Amino acid sequence: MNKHLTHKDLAAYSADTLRQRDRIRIDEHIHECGPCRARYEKLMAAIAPRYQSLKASNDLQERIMRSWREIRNGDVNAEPNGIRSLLVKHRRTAIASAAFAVAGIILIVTIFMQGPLETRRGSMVMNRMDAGVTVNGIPARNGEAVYDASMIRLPEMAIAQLVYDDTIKITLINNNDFSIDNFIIEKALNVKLGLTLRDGMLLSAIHGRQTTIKYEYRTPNARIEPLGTEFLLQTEDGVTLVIMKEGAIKVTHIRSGKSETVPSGRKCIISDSFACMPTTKEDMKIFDDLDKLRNGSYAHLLLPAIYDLKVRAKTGNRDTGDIGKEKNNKKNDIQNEGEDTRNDTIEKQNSRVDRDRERMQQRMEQKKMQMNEMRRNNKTNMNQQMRRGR
Amino acid sequence: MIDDRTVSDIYQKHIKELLVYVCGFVKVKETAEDILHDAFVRLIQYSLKYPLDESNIRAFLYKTARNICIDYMRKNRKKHETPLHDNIEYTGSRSMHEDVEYNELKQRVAELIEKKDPISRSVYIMRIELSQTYEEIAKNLGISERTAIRKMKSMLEYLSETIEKHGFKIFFIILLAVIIAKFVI
Repeated sequence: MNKHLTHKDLAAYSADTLRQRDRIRIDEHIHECGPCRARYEKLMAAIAPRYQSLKASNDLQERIMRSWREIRNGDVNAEPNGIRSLLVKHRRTAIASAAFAVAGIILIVTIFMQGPLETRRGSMVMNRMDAGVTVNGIPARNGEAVYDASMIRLPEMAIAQLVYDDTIKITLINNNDFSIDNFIIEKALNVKLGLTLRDGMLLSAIHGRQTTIKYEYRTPNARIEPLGTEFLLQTEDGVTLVIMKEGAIKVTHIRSGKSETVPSGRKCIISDSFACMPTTKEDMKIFDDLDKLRNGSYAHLLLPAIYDLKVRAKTGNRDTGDIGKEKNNKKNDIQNEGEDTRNDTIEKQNSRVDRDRERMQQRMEQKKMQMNEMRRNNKTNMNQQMRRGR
Repeated sequence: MIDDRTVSDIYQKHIKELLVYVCGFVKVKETAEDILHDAFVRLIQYSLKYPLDESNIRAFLYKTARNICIDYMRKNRKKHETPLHDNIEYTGSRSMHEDVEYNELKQRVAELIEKKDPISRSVYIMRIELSQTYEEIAKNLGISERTAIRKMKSMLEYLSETIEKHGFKIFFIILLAVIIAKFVI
């Protein structure tokens, strides 16, 4: 064998799943070829068992069973012994922790009264949450830390807020299918967040101090990168709707690869096509209702408002989002806006295409008329010739 | 609520694998055991409110153990504990420099394993650290033997590729540094 071993060969050889004939062949090659031998040795060093001799202590099972008995006897909220034993090991820390805990309680009470919530880096916190919200299929609790690779699902008419560092606040609304894909802390302050909204609606807000957090939402047909902003994002039945309130976002249409910066006062509808237009007063009313939610009201007190919001978002969608009606809306936009921003150029191009189509149809009709005339003339000529011949 | 026999069965079935997994994070056996104890307590508390689905128990324990590990590491960032690998005698033929390199390689492998799907991760731990046969792994994970082999091969292929790329990057950086140094001097 002259060629070097592939990664597949090495993997199969290391996993000990080869037939005898192949194993001998690779054995010989590794023996003869220096670079392949080095690669194989490095892989073997990397996968060498490290904790093979590790065995759980004899008392671990007994400790777990003791806890099981405590819980069964009614001590449901018993603090797990593991953490307690850690605190005993570090007594000084335990005393300091107790002092901090008292201060923490006071702080939490203050925070609860005022609204803002501090979170630890590397996780987001579930806040102001209705019943039925699950994280990875397990019912979530208020104040629970949510890490990357977490799937969050909301039932109908429920609300949950995700908070990061009191800076990014994401309010998930109604029947939501949302996940935190990546949560990368690069340096001291550089954080990258990848979020996916498969279905449902959310309000994204970034406010307060300046941050170095970069985050990106993904929907089935768009990538949205906020540039310090507040906006509403909804995705349903393959249509994504973004309504801007403040700041700007960069929207990328996944299918065509087109990207565009959308400023405040505009909205985007992304389906098979990608169109931006000015927001209406009705659109902006949604934010007033959502402000109530963000300022601490609970969902069950606002059910009618949420329902109204849902309907409005849908009607907003219907106004402009129906793919068949998009062209008419685009024409109206051109008439209303006059000379507004570069988005209009797309709309103008579309209207040009329509005009071209009309012209083509007119030409086709003219050609048909000409052909018919030609046929008639030919017939009359033929008849005349026949008569002359007779 | 989950009964004592089920708790015992779950313990017997998963404890070795989970211990290896948690040790990969915290490096100290006693701490790993405390974390696993907490994970089991949370499982029992969860079973009080909701019925347990047998197929999700492994995932629940993994996820809970991982979250407790992350919390623990954040809280104890400044504390110095004796890592487990310092107690293991593997240094026989290696120099100090090689040991450092070996530890870095191991750390990198642990990070790579964490990126893979839960089944691949379990197959890898069971095969490498627990020395189980593919038949045993398949039985424990409720998958076919063929799938277990496929997952293991794909895991090793992934490790081989990534380690090589990483090695090449380091080699390239050193080469670049040497060239720059020569050029400057």
